[in-house]
Amino acid sequence: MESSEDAILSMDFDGIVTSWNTGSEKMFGYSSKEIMGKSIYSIYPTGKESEFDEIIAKLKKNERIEHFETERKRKDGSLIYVSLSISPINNEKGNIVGIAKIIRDISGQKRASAYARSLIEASLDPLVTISAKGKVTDVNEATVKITGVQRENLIGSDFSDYFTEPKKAREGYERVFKEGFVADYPLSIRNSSGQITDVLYNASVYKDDKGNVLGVFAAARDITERKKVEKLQAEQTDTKEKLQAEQTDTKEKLQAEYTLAKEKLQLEYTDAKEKRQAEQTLAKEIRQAEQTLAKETRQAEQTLAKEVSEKLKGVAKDEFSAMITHELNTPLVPILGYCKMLKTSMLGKIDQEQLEAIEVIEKNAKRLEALIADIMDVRKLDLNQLKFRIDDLSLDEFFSNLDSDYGKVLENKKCQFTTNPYAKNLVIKTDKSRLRQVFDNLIGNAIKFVPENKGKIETGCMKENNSLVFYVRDNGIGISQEKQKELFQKFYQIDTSERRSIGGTGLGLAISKGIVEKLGGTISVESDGKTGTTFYMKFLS
Amino acid sequence: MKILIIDDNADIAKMFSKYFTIKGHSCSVANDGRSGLNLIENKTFDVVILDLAMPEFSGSDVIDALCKSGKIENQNIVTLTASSISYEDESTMKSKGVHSCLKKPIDPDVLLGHLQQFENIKTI
Repeated sequence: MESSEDAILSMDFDGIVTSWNTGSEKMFGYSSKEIMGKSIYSIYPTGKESEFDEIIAKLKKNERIEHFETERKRKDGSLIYVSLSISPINNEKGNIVGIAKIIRDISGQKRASAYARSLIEASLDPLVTISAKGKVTDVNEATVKITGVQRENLIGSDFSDYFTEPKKAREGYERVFKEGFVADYPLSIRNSSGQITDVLYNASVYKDDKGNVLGVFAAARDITERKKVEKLQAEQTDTKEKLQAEQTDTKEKLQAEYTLAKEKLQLEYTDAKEKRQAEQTLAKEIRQAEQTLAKETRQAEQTLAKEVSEKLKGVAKDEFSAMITHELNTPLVPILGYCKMLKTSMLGKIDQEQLEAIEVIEKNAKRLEALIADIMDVRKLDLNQLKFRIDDLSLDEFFSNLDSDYGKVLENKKCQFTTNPYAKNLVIKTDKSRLRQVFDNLIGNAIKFVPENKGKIETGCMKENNSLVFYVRDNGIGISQEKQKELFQKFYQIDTSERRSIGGTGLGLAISKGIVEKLGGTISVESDGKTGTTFYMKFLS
Repeated sequence: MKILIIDDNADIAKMFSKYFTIKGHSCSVANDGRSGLNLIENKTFDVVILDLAMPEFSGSDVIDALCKSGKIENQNIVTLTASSISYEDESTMKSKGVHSCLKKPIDPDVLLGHLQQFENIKTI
């Protein structure tokens, strides 16, 4: 009992402390000498004293109290989160004579979960987790806002209740359980006040440590603004068409009137002069009417165009990224250009030391270039703005390009590079330059970690049930189970101290994961943590 | 080869000009779109390297003006930009008569290698 990390203590029904172990001394700062025979209220924060009576009442009803979470006060006045387990102390006759408590400090756990919640709450997108039965298990503030329903009422309710098409919402999460994820799934949320918000859902299953599916994690993106623009554009086209139709109508009507009037004139006026004059006047009137109509139409069109363009301005476009890309890349042009000229002695002979200095400048400028490109890819992935061009891709061609780009270079470094396309003449639909970007990232990583002079890197493709699986395998230093979990996070690098000198932006794997997922696949890693690593990219075929 | 470099960033224009001159080519430089356009309207170059993002009169404005005057028919143009260019923008450029769209930063040697294809083309 004395060696426990938990505080273990006992007291009588009046709350007078009758035992106090070293765990209690450490947790609360009172020595057993100080507190024995004194009241237990010393460790109750102000306002929580009534808990003692509630505990006594429960024990008298023979109820056990376990993992009761509350706050207690230390000697220095600071508060700690604790979990209490309480049991009665009986005498030989079976009567309750006191209370024994085991107290565990859970402040650390509380802080960790508060941190996780603050991350979820920081998202402006509505996030929700759903159980296998389709019940909401957790939500963030953004979800409360968009549905207009309080968190307590949301939790435990049917996820599908909050949409204009509950059936489609149900089909959505059922598909997530079946296929592991959905991307850009369109739904409309109905607010408690009746307001409709159009959203795109991205959702995937989440699992426990053992790989059991616990539920679905779903994130919505508000696309009301985008829809508004589309609607405005459609309205503009409509109005224009309507105006044109009206114009045609009026013109036809005027012409009919003109014809009628002319006939009438011919009947009524025999005098040629009068007739001509009347005709002229009428023709002039018609011309004026036509001009006025044309002018009005033009003005209406202009007003409409102006309104639409004003409204378009309010729609977020990622101008910021475009500007940053331009401003960061521009200075690199003369830096890299002059490095090249100095290095190749175009501006005069340079000695070994100067050459080394220039090579360091060049190497770092190139690293900066790669970092800018990666940061922009990450941002576009985050904003769902990374563009893909899906085309036919011949796997023979893809792998033979890899071979010619990497084979020779790696041979010079005494590293063996092989490619194994799955089958001759197989053509798939994908974005070849983005797929190549993923391979470049993975091969680039492999090169960094293979042993000197006896490295082996193998790339290829194989068929597995209904899927096509690409892989990049190396005989490098491997990746431990623990590190595999964090591998795909942004700015993650295997060994922050030593390997940083090797270079790399720490974004390559996060981007690769993003690209593979946008292309409809999944990426995973396999390694025993000692020798060799294999990355798999799986696409349903 | 007669090369015209149009770029509002004087450091970049000068660096390329220096590089290509040392490699034995003849270079002209314009630091804004309008003066670049004037040079092209009066003389044909083997190739023009055209920066797209320039204030007031951009690379796209230069291309539109050349389309209007018909001059684009017998002038090789390569665009160069530090911004990321979308597939749509690239195909629009090409449909207007631009030969290729390259991205900054670019190794001057790689750029020169690309320009070499225009060396033997006789412009009328």
